[in-house]
Order: sequence, then structure tokens, then C-alpha cells
Amino acid sequence: MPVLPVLTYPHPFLKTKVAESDPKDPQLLSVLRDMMDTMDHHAGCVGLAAPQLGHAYRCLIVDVSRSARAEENHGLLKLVNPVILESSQWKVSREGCLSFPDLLANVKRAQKIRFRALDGDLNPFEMVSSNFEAVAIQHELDHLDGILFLDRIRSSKDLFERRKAPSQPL
Amino acid sequence: MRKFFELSAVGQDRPGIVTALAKSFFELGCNLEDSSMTQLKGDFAILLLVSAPADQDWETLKKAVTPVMNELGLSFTLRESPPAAPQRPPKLPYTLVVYGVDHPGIVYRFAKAASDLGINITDLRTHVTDNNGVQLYSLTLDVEIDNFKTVQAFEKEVDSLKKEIQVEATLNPVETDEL
Repeated sequence: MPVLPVLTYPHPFLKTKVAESDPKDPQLLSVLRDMMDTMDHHAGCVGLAAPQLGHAYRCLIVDVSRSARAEENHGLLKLVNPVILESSQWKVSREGCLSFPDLLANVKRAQKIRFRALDGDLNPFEMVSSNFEAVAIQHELDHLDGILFLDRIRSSKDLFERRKAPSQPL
Repeated sequence: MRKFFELSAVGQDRPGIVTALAKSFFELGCNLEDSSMTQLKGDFAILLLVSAPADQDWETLKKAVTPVMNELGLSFTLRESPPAAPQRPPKLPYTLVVYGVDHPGIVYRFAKAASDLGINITDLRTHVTDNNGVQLYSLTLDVEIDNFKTVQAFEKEVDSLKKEIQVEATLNPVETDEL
């Protein structure tokens, strides 16, 4: 099962809105597998959207349990055709993105969302998610609409270069 | 009545610059007012407004600050701040975010679009980062706009500029949460 390269800006596909996926599409499950394998490959990655791998599918995966920041969460979530039904408790937090490896930005997101989607077995479900998990879902869902986190910056002081620690001498 | 002085300084970054600077102004009875200090690659840059007791003059302050600056290896300018400008009518605060593949003229084109409409830039930051082998340029600027008609005209300019020079650009009102 392949680990696929993550598209980085300025790849034009990242700015493209993806149409709803057909649950009967035979490729859908293999797209989700590619996404899983790719997320596993990137330490610290807690979410991926299909368009980041060049797939025109409305799919995202998140698993914030992989992060030290995680509070209550549902572990691994595979979402196909997700739609947010309710959003509340807006708060600004700092985000990064595999498609912009050297940048961080403060972005305002709902800390509580109710959404519906198809799960990894393509069964419809509804869920309430909060805090970091809710933020991750909104970030990935934006990718399905061609919206990148830099598009959500609301002040000149909200963009940062990721300061990398010097690499460990071997 | 306190007097205001503006200091700008830049030099090689190292630990202790802010400490030495704050100590010297503290000992002169000055307050650090508005300031912005940041790392620029390997350098450290300082923009600082200090208020001083009314009997403090520019020569004394400059004489006191110069050896500290020399010790820190910073080149600097110090000037007495002109009297405050008269209160202006409130304006509409907006933020413009621009990013794209680095090429000359990004700041100039967007700044010109603003100034042509009489829009004042109140804060501007730029970053050049390596985005997986591509030099990515990002520009964020805060502006103050007189009225909604000018906002609409600026939106139109931003929209046509982003297509012309092939960058992403979004203009949004600054959100204020009244609590």
C-alpha cells in the first residue's frame, strides 16, 4: 500500500474544490488506505485530506490521539463527504499544515462541531467533536473546498515561520 | 508632560540585547512604550518608542545609549518624537493576506493598490520560506480604510492583482470579539 507524496503549495490541486464522492466508487476505499499509509509515514501528522495526495475525493482522516495536544477524542476517524451541521465556541489556535511545511498560523475555528459523514465502511453517521479534534476536522474539510489555512488568517501578526530546532549531531 | 523618543536599531543577534537595552532606559527613568523587536535571519531589529521625564533631552539620552549600543554591536538612530498627530476619525480595519511563489514586486503592487486609494498600511510582515523546494513569499498587512466604498474598490483591485501576478490574496475585516 503506497505512501504518497503530500502535495505542497503552489500545486494548483490544493486550491481546487472537490465534488462529492460517490460511495459506490470502487476506488474510494483504496484512497482511504493511501491516506492512512501516508499519515502513518509522517510523525506528528494528525490529519490528511484526499486532495493533499492529489485524489479528487471528498475524504479526510483525522486521528488526534497521535498528538500530545489531544484531549477527549474519537481516535481514528475516516470521513467521506463530511458536512458540518453546527459550529460553536470559536477560538483562535495555532496550526501547521503538511502542504506548508515551514509556516504556522493562528486560525479561528469552532471548538465544538456536529457533523455528518460516511464512515470508513461507508455507513452514514453523525458525531459531535470538540477541541483539537474539531479543529483538525475543520482544517481538513477546508482542503476539500480548496481553502488553505493561510486563507483564514485575520491579522498581520498571525503568520509565523516554524523555527526549527537545530538537528541533533549524530 | 513626558517626552517621547524613537529608537531604531539593528545588529547581529545574541542573548542579552533586550536586557541591556531595557536596563539602560530603566536607569534613565524612561518607560518602554510601543515596541516591535524581531529576529531577521541572524540579526535582531528593534523599533521602540520610549517616554522620558520632561527634563530629559536628546543629547543626554543619546550619550547614555551610545556606549550600550556600541557594546551590543547595534547600529541605531534616536530621534525625539514629534507631538502626537490630532485624533483622526475612526476607520475600518482590514487585513490583507497574500502568498505565492516568490517573485519581485509583490509588496510594491499591493502597497500601491492601497496607497492609490488613500489606504494607510498600519502593519506589514513578510516571510520567505522554503516550501518543499519552492521559495514561498507571504505578505500580511493591516490597513485602515475610510469607508465601505473604498473597501469595495480595494477588493476589486486585490482580486485583479492576484490574477495578474498569480498569487493568492484575501482581504478580511479585522474581527473584534466584544466580551
